[in-house]
Amino acid sequence: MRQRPDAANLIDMARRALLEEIAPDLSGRSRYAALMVANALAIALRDLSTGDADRAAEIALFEDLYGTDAIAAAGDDRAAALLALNRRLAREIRDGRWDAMPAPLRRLLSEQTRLRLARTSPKYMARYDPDR
Amino acid sequence: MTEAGATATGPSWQEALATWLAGAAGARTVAIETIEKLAGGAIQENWRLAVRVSGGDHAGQQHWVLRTDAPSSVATSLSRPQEFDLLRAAAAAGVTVPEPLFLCDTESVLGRLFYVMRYVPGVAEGHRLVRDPAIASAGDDLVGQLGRELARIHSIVPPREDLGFLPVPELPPALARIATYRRYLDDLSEPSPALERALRWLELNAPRAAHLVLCHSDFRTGNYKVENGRVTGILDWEFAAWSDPNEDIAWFCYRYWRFGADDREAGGIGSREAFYRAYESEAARPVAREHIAYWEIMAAVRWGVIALQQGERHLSGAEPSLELALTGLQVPEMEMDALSGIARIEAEAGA
Repeated sequence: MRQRPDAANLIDMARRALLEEIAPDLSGRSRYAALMVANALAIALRDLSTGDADRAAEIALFEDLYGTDAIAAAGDDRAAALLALNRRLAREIRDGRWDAMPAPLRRLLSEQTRLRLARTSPKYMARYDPDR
Repeated sequence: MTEAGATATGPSWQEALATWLAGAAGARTVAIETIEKLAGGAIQENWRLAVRVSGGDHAGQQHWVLRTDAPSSVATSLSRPQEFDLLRAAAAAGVTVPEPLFLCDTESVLGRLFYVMRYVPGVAEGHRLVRDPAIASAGDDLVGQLGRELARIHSIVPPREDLGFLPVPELPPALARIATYRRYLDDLSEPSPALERALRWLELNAPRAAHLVLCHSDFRTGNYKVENGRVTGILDWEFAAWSDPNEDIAWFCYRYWRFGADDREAGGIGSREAFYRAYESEAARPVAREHIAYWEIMAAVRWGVIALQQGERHLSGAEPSLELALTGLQVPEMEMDALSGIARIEAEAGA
């Protein structure tokens, strides 16, 4: 089976065609919808290129907080493990177990949020992120 | 009717409405010339009416808005009759609102409760307002008007018999809000450690005492109309509640409601100080600036939780929608607003 152009390239080209050839002729509600589609394609494209690395980076942040054994116990499916780890952390924060805010937790919260922003809101990153 | 099937009240509903309006207006007849559904409003529907009234106090050509529940609406905010009472109380306090005219508190006319208010002209859309060059040059004047409007809303304080449907919170307002947002988070499938951290911080740093006032609870760019540089009406009262006045002030200034016009921190329209000073001159009470920063964290959390809820409507399969999906994906922005806001407050306290 031919592999090229690959999924990322096709999504990229579809997004360009939408923005350069279709959207300029639209107005009102349909223009708004076209821009939403372009935005969704951009996020999907970033997922394809950095999704695996992002999940690995978030797992590493949790390892610093909970230790490698706890992370190994969470299983091989990274997405499922991250959901479980985030649920646990959310509950513990609410219960006051992390009020001292140790450095690994501070790092996890800010880096995790930054990873998510890079995926969904690069404009926000460029304008508001205090560390950039 | 411009939208077929938009109401389930049958072909003669316009006649029933016209007859009811004539009675409510003390008129001989009311002829509905045009009726069109206004855009927006997933929970409520607004219909713009052009009518010709014969006889009575409203005789002549009139432009009204009929506001009712959307057919699939869920009872999460105030009812239309309660909203009508709020508009009356606000108008009596000198707030610029669409004048409330007639309340229909029976379902026998349209199958739903509704009320009629005067149509107010002007632009409400936030994106349009913050990009209007005329507003950019007179933004401090406009936020001054809005600051005075907000102070007049806050001049309404409990107890009020006419507003008895608004529960008086048993907890301090901040703690009541925290409990509500946690309850919302518990119904969602996506956890947010960042929003939980912000809520815990808000809990540990909650202001002890607050004097309760009537808060609009959605007072922001997008929910008022402007024409020729003047505020023509404060809209969308369905979230009004007895709360801490700083909550409304902070919500108005919260980043998201600047629609990208970040150099104008008060609603993307004007400067914070112009907004605060106008509020202070009307309220004869200083704005506690250190508390506004606290309530802006609350604003980020509130909008983050709402965005998560909208994303969940898509994720759960209840209402597959690209727009809802993308709203849910904005949550990290509110998470970062909250985390960086807390870091700023802590750095200032430690400095």
